Amino acid sequence: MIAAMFTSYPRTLTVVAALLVLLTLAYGGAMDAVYPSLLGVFEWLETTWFGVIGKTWGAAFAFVEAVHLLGLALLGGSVLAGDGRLLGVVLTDVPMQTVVVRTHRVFVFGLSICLATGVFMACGVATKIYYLPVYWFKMLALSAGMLFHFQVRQPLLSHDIQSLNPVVVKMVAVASILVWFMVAATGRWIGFSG
Amino acid sequence: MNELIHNLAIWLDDTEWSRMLHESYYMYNWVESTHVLTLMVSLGMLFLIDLRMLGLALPDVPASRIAERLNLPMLVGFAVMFITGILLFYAVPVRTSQSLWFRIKMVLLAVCAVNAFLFHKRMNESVATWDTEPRAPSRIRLGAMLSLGFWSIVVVCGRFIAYDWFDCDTSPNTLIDIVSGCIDGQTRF
Amino acid sequence: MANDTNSENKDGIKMKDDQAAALVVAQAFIVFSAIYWFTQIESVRELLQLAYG
Repeated sequence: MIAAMFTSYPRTLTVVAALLVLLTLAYGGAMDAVYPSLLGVFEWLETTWFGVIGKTWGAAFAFVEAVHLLGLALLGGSVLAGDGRLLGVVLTDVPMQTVVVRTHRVFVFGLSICLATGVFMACGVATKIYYLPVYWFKMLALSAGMLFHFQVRQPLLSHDIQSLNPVVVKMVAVASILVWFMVAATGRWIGFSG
Repeated sequence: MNELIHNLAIWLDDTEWSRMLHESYYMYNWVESTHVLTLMVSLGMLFLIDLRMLGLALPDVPASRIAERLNLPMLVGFAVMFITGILLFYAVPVRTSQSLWFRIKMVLLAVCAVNAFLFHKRMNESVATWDTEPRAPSRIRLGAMLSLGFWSIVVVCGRFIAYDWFDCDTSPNTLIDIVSGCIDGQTRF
Repeated sequence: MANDTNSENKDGIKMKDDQAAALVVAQAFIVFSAIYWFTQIESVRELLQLAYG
């Protein structure tokens, strides 16, 4: 019975396991156990080239922050256009598959910019963000968002979307918008904290 | 002119709502966050339109359809940014009106508006001949590239406003002081 | 012929799996977001009430 479930629903079981791991990390005390040992890593990040440049050259840090925002605009635009199409709100006269496939490329580009600039920024203020709960929450939301996008949303939408259950498709669109909004909002709040 | 702007800023700064907004931790940050996060709607849609013209996004969808369909959400996004931007200025009017970056940003916003007007005019005149082409003609592509470039600098300037490198009280550079519109003897930010 | 049916069956099973996974995660995200934002807004409201009455 269990073996049959594993062969029929491997992705479902994997994502359920991943959700449980994320919840344990967030609220189960697992993070508390790992947290102290990570301080050394964050202290080291500030000594790297990125960290030194970010700390000593404020203009470089501010410029990278702005590029991070441009990446966010691309990422957010692609998410809103793609998920907006799935919800039937925008580009309704363009086939869903076309919008989803094409906006995915923009999404990957935007996400790459955000990740590259995000790593640089994190190095510059590593020992500050280490102590900010909102930073860890953002990382959790970002991990959840990336896993969701690449391991759940994309595999689902690679099928013929018309043959999928429309309620599931719409729920995926809403969840996708919510998770990326969460990433952006918690990211913005890092700047107001500490 | 600078004197006039300065007096107007002082008058705004003296209003109770300006002080309340400035001093309110949550309200100011919410307005600021909304201003920044709405980038995803306004610039997100704008970038998709521009990238379509360059043949880098949705090349198999007619250009006019992308421009028309994404226009409304883009304008809604810009409306929210405009309102929250005015509120942010209203909360800190004296310092902001004398910020070099704010002034560059305002000029660039005007340039972006002119570019957008010319872009739409040129597009509407000729779109029927290249609508389904993956890349727009060079004149339209130039407009799209200028739009991407100008808006990127607007974002950079917007981000730089938060930093005090060239604030009137600290800047030793006279040329920057003049461009920033610094007023002699001012005592508040 | 038999191979075609087999492959269609496999595709159908995979689609079911992908839909079930999407449904589980999307539901979890929507419920979690609702709770998270409600708690955030409520805590700010309580804080402001404590400060200003």
